[in-house]
This record gives sequence, structure tokens and C-alpha cells, in this order.
Amino acid sequence: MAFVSAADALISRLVALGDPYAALGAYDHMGDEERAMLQDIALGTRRQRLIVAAAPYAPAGLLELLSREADAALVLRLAKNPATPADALARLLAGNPPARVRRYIAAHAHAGELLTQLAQDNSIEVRRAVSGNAVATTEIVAALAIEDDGLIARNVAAAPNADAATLQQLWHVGDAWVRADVAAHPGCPPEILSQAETSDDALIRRKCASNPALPEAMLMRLLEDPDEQVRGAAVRNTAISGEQLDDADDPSAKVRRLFARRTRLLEAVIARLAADPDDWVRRWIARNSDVPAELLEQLAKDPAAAVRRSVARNPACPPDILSALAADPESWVRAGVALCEDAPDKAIAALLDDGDRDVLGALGRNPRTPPEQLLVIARHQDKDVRRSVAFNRAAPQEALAVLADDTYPLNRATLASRKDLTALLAERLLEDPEPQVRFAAAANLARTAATQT
Amino acid sequence: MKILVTVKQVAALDDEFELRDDGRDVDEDFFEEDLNEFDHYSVEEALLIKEAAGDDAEVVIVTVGNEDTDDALRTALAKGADRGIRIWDESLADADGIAVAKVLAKVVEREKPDMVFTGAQSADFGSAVTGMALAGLLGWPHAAVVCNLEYSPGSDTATLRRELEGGLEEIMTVRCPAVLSIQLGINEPRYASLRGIKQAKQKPVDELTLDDLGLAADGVTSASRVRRMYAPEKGQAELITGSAAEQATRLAEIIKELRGM
Repeated sequence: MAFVSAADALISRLVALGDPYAALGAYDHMGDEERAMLQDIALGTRRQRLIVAAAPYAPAGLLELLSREADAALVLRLAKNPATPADALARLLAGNPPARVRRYIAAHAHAGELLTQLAQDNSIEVRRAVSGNAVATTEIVAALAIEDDGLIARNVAAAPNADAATLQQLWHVGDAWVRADVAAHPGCPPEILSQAETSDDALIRRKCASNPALPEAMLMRLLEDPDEQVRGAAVRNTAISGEQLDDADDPSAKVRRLFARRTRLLEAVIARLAADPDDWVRRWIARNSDVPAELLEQLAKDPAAAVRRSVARNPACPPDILSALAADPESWVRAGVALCEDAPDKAIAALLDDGDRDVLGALGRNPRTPPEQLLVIARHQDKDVRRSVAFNRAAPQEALAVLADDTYPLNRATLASRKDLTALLAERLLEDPEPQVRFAAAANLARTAATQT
Repeated sequence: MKILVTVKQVAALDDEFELRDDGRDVDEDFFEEDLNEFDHYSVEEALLIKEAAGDDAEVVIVTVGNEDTDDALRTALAKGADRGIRIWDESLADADGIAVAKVLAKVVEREKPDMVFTGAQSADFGSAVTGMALAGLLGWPHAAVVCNLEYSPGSDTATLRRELEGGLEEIMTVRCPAVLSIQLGINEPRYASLRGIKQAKQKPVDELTLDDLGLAADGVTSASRVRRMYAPEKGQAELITGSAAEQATRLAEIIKELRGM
């Protein structure tokens, strides 16, 4: 019976407020009867219906209701709204909308079965949109590939559902960009991959090297390619394990940076990258959780502050190194330590008196920061520093209450989205001047009421 | 000591929009309205002067618009301005910057402020004319695109910096009272506190008509009229590749196509 009373109390409050944004926030968590009341509030005026039709956060049920109205401005907004459900899109299409609207429906992620009809649309713009829709089926994609249109060809070459036959056809008729997309497609036939691997065009070899279905032998050959971008794409390709990447002495720093981002690298490779003359290579390897403690200790003394920051952000960084970095002269490095939830008490304590905004902002997010310090941070003069406390799952209620009165609307909106927000604060935020805050507060209260069934 | 700040509620277009049937403006279904961004800075500058003067100064917000523009007025009042004035008459529906300046000039005569701030321009039409025209009608000094201001209440001059082309700035002194058009970035506009927002609802707003200002509708006619608003056709671009001869051939084809040969 708790649900009935909590939901009823909330509905009474929302009806009394008459606020469309609060009604929108609560809608999805309510029963049919309550939804009917909220619908009247949320869609009360034409202006409000236009706003809801364009809002990606709008409940699908309300968007479906709006699709029953034959209002051109509403139809355009609904067709563009990524949250519009499939049945609403079908209703819009049944109303014979103009080509501009059909184009948006054709590109919509929920268009699904409508794409068969739209693939035969008179407008080339609509058919192009279908060809670029990731949910277009193999049959639709194959039918569109026949068209003599460069944009459709490029879209089809990159379509997830393009089959081997379609890709083969495009390889033979397409321009260099189409062929490059064919070479990058996971469904690309092996004989085309062989041609792409040895193509004179570096673009095609690069896209081929990025293909996640590329055979290992081809990938190993592309790692030796004279073009640095091709080698870079091969290093990035996860089809090959980090353990197989045993040559980190690439002449290009850009390629070595990509090596440093891979996991499961060999120890010798990690050591070479840690001593690389390029700051960015060391920066990436310093974040790599496979780096042994002794190398991290060496990198923690790196002359580049960004490298030391990476050490502090490395999840495998030992406590003694974190403690040392807590006294780093660069605030950006100390802020990295302040973000670590597993930083030793000593390191956190050393940072509590730090006046730097980056350090305070990081401490504000860290659940290990003492509650009394979080209260101080919630009252800081910098709005971005204050907001960090709203992200802290261990923030005390006293600090959250301070944020409920924050002058910066985004801070109140962040607070209102917290799942552990107390009913007291959520109800206070229901009357906030910012629509986004009222929406989140109402959603919060309604979700809680629904879980009390 | 009184500073008068003129503000405007401007239109922010949706990314796709349609024009009105008369083709002279955007259909109001396709835009939202909000306080002009430039005006946040001019209001803030006035509030900073007021606070530095120990609150011994009054900041008055003025707007020309129908009751929908109350939102912009209350937004400025919530930040800390003391009171507001809104002037409206149906004959002002299509008023340009000159017509608005004529109305504002009468408000200035009535209020007798020590300084008038306007935004450097409005975000929707961007004519940047209202402040200049207002100063002209009043016969007051005017400085546009002000990016720094040193002014003490009661002082008979103000020293300011203005942004010029090519990254240049100029420092100038103006006699007061003056009309200053304030540029973005001169300060960091504050957000209204929750208390300020509540208090703004109670702050006095004078709703005036042209009659109240001693103006007649034919005395505030616009100096310009929008004949047509339209989205120009997008140009086409083509990357010409191939040998020099092939490129020259393609270029000749394009020229012939464009000239209709």
C-alpha cells in the first residue's frame, strides 16, 4: 500500500504545481491513470507540445500521442527526435509527409520496417538516408547499392549489414573512398582484402589495416608498411594481441604512441616505451596498468608533469608512489592523486589543505575525502569545484543541502539526478526555477514511489 | 546615482526552421526566446558598479516588448537590479533599432540616469544600432564594443577600453552621462540566486505605453523595413583532380555550366 500513498501524494503535488517539466520527469514511472493526469499538464499548450515533440528526454508514450496530431511543425520535430518510437514514426509516414520529414524518418534508429518502403522513395535524399541507417537490412542495402550515386555507395560500403556480394560489387565500381570503406568492412571477402593489402593507395591499405576481421598474417605485414598511418591503424587493430606487438621502435612517434596505448604488451616493449624521447609516448605508457612498479617509480620522476599525472591516474600505481606524488609541485599531478579512491590516507591528508581548484575539484569527487572537507568544497567560490561534490557518492546530506541552493543551475541539476537524493531535497528541487532540475527531481521522486510497491 | 540598462528578449532558432507566411521573419514555432547574451554582460557591469558603490546606486532595467518579454526583464532583476520598466504598444511590433531608440530616449529623459548601458548588439538581428541611435537622439557621448570600464558613481568621466579590428584596443575617456555598448567578456556574468529569483517576482516593473512617454505611434516609425527573409542557396564545391589538362577541361565545363553556354 506504500506505493499507492507515495504515488498519490506525488501526483497531487505535481497536479498542484502544474509544471510540464516535472510532469515529464515523473511520467514513465507512473501507472495509466496517473499518466493521463500528467499528460494534460505536459501537453497543455501548443508551445509545450512543440517542446515535448523535440525533446530527446520525452517519454515515448507522449511522443506516440503527439504523432496523432496533424501539425506540420510537430511532425518535423517528432521525425527528428531520437526518442520517437517506431509506431509513432509509422503513423507520421502514413500521413504522407514532405520529403524533408521522410528523410529524417529514413535516418531514424527506430525506423526498422519502414525502411523497405523508404528505400523506394522518389527522393534521392530519402534513399541516401536509408543507406546510411545502421539498421537497414542486407536486402535493402543490396538493393540500394545498385544506384549510381556516390553518397549511397559510400553509405552502403560502411553499412553494418552489407553482405560480401554487395561489398564485392562496390569494390569493382566504387571510387577510392568507397573501396576504402569496403576494405574496412568486417564482412569484406578475403580476396578483396588481399587486393586492399597491396593497394598502391595508402588510404585503402590504412582502412584495410583497421579491419577487425583481418587475418593475422596480413596484419603483421601491414605493421611493416612504409606509411605511418597504415602502421598506426594496424597497431590499433585489436585483432592482434598486444603480446604480438614486439617492435616498439617504430621511427614514427605517432605509431609509438599507439603502441603505448595497447594492453598486454611484452615487458621489453614496455621498458622501451617508458624511456621513449616523446612525451606523449611516456604519457600513455605511464597510464598502462601493465607497467611494473619499478618503471612507474621511474616515470613518477619524469620531467614532464603530464607523465607524472598519468602515473597518478594509473590504476596499478602503488600507494608509496601516490604519496610521493601528493607533494608534486604541479597541481595537475596532485589533482590526479586526489581523484584516486584507493590513495593512502597519508596522501589524502596531505592534499586537504591544498588551495588549487583542480585538486579541490578532485577531492570533491573522492568518496575518501572526509565529510567535513566535502562541506567546505560544496561552499567553494568556484562553481565547478562545488559541482564535484554532487558527483560524490559519499557526500554528506549537509553538503548536498548546500548544493540545493547553489546559484549555478547545472550544480542543482546534477544534484537532482542523484539516485540517493532524499525525498526532502527532491521535493525542494521540484520548485526550482530551472526546468532541467524540476524534471530530474520529479523523476527521482517518481522512481522512488514506484520502487515502494 | 542611477544606471539604466536596456535589455532585449531575443530569438534563438531551432536548427531547422520555417519562415512565416509573409516571408519576413521566422515562424515563431521554430524559436525559443531568451535574454540577449550581450545583455547579461551589461547588467553585470551595472551591478558591479552598484556593489562597488556600497549599494548607493540604483540599477534600472528597461525593455521594449510585449508581456512575453517579462521573462527577460525578471531574469535581469533576479541578478540584483532594483526595478524594471517595460514599454509596449502594438505599433512597435516590427520596430527596428531606431524606433526602439526613440522610445528609450523618452525613458532616459524621464529617468535621468547617470549612465546608460546597452549590449553591443542583439544576438538575433545583430544590427548594433540601438545604443548608437539612443546616444544620437540624446546628444550624449557614446562608446561601442566596450571591453573594460573604469567608472565611479558620481564621476563626470569614465575611462574605457574598446575592441577594434585586428586585435587592437583603444583607451578613451568619455564625458558622463554617456551611452556605452558593452561587449561580451567584459566581466563574468553571475547566475541569479534562488533567493534572487523569488525576489524578482516582487520587484516593481512599470508597464508603460507610448502615451505615458508622450509619444504617438507615428512618432516611432522604423527607419527600415524587412522586405524578405530567406535562406540563401548553398554554394557547391567540387574538388578538381587529375592532370593539369584534365583539371583545365573540367574547369572549362564548370564555367560553361554556370554561364549557361
